[in-house]
Amino acid sequence: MSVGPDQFARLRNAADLAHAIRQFCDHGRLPAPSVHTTLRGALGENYYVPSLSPFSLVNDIVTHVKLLNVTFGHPNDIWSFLSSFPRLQYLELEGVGFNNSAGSRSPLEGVFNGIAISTIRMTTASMGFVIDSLIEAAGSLSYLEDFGIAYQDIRQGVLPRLADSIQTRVKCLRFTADCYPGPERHNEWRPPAFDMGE
Amino acid sequence: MTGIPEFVGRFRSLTVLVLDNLRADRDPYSVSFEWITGVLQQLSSPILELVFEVTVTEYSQLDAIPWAFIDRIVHPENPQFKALARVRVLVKRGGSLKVRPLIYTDVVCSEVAWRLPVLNLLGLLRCNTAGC
Repeated sequence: MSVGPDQFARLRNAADLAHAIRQFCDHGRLPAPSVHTTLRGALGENYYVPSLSPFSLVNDIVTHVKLLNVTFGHPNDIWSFLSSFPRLQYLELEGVGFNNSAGSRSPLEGVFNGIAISTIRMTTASMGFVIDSLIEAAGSLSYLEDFGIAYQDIRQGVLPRLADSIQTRVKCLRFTADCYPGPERHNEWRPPAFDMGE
Repeated sequence: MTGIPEFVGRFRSLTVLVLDNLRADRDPYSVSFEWITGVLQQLSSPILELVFEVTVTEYSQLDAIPWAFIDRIVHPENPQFKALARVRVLVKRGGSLKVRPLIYTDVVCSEVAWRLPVLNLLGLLRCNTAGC
């Protein structure tokens, strides 16, 4: 597979992406960090982060990251992974899991200093650890203007705190809610597969 | 579900509100969009742009959205909409790739305009389709 910088930006499959990155490296054609390349949707479904080590070769040019059911070794790993992308502007979280949630968690204060993340979208409110982390790291999300979340009947005590921590910066809210007509139908609600941090 | 309007109302610097993934193509007895009314009432900042992204497989499913209420409250006379520049309705075609419902852009936008007569008259309404 021969991939030029333009096509590189359109890859949507993580396996293709890893292959393409290796090709770039093998042929010495890795785009210069100054090239504004977007790896939209680059992380494929059900990936375990160590298998994404080729990313370390393109960290400087990645601006968009989508985590779709990606598994990390420990909760601390997600933010150290994301903060390794200095040009990260867009972060979409559609499911993250951890092999091991035990042990102490690293402080997040300042973890995003200098990284201009302007957009965060969460397709579920069930990622408790992620929400807690965003509240903690809100001070370093100084560029955040666009936030999206699918509201669910969970963590209602925490979501207002999340809103309060980012509300002065967010100009665009992308919002939906999974909502059922009557209380009797609440019994039909099923939690999403990834219900982390509760 | 409680807490939705309060959650959105806490964002005091909003200029754009996108209500997305409004899956009107789902079983009407298992989903409700009445929360939209509370959200629009509780907005705490003047909104410039309001966007509804609705998914349908047939025109009648548009009725799941409380358009009549939206047409009443989303009006420049109300403080949260005094700076309103546009209301965009993006209608997406639901269904699987194998079962492709017939949704025509002209028809669906007429249906939306018919449901939002005041916003349409004020010239604020924009309608688009995706996947139709």
